[in-house]
Amino acid sequence: MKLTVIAKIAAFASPLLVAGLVVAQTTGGIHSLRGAAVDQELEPPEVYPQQLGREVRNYRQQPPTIPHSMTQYQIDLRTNQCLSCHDWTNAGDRGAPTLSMTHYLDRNGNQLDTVAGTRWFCTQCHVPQADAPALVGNDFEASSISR
Amino acid sequence: METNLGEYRQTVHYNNHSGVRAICSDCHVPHEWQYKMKAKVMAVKDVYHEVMGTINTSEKYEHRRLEMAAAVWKKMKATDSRECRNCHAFEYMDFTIQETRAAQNHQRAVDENMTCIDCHQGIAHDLAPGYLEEYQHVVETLAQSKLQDGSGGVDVASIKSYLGISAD
Repeated sequence: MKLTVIAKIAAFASPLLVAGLVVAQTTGGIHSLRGAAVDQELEPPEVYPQQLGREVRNYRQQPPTIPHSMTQYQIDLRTNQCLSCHDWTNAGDRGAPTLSMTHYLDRNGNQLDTVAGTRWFCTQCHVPQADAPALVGNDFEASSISR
Repeated sequence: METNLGEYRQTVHYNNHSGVRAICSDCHVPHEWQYKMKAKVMAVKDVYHEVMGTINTSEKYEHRRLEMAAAVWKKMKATDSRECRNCHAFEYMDFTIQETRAAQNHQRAVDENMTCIDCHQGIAHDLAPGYLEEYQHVVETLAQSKLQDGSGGVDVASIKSYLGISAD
């Protein structure tokens, strides 16, 4: 009984598998992220310089973009150099915007004196501002505009 | 010497828009003869530790990173960032083509008689956790030893306020 079921499934499956392989082989082949063979030279991507001056947020909860150069700033497990100006302890003296107080709440909602570990890597949300085309197309519309 | 070399190669002193490069010795070896000779004698210590393998793994290196950085900060602070000033000088800076925040802070540095290393730690090498506190400690111990010498001259309060640590 069992054997016949397996045999039936196999009878259906194997031609399908072969057909699938044939289709896969004939249409396109492998697409690499690079988009070309290794021996082909690619056009270098456009460079979009950073815009200075603080940009207005596009929607209420948008993480503010970064209006200054920061390529040489260390943000890793050991050190976060953004905090040398933007941490609440330094922001007043350095004339920099302080981190939002939400960044001092840990995942359980406890108030901390130092930035929460979950907020440590600034550039996960805050990006340098540049007038560059979107990398991925989207039809996002800010609530403040559609209102 | 491989770890710090690798870190330096990621920085603006290695690769930059103008194509001028500052190599290790530009920052770590003084130009004037008497200071240069002193640096060369002191470098025996570096050779010793290189041979003994004091920092030959990344774990050992990280363990010593803050201590090594503090030693260089102390030197820089004590000499008013002498090696930086072999190339950089406030008089050569055009504040109008600097970023606004850079210009403002450089003006403040001129006004308050600060030195390069007061802000520019970690310019060529990675920084260890707690680097700001350690730099503060370096400044304080230097100021104290200067007070004992009777020479004085360092305004600790202004540097403290600049670094955002309340003056006590």
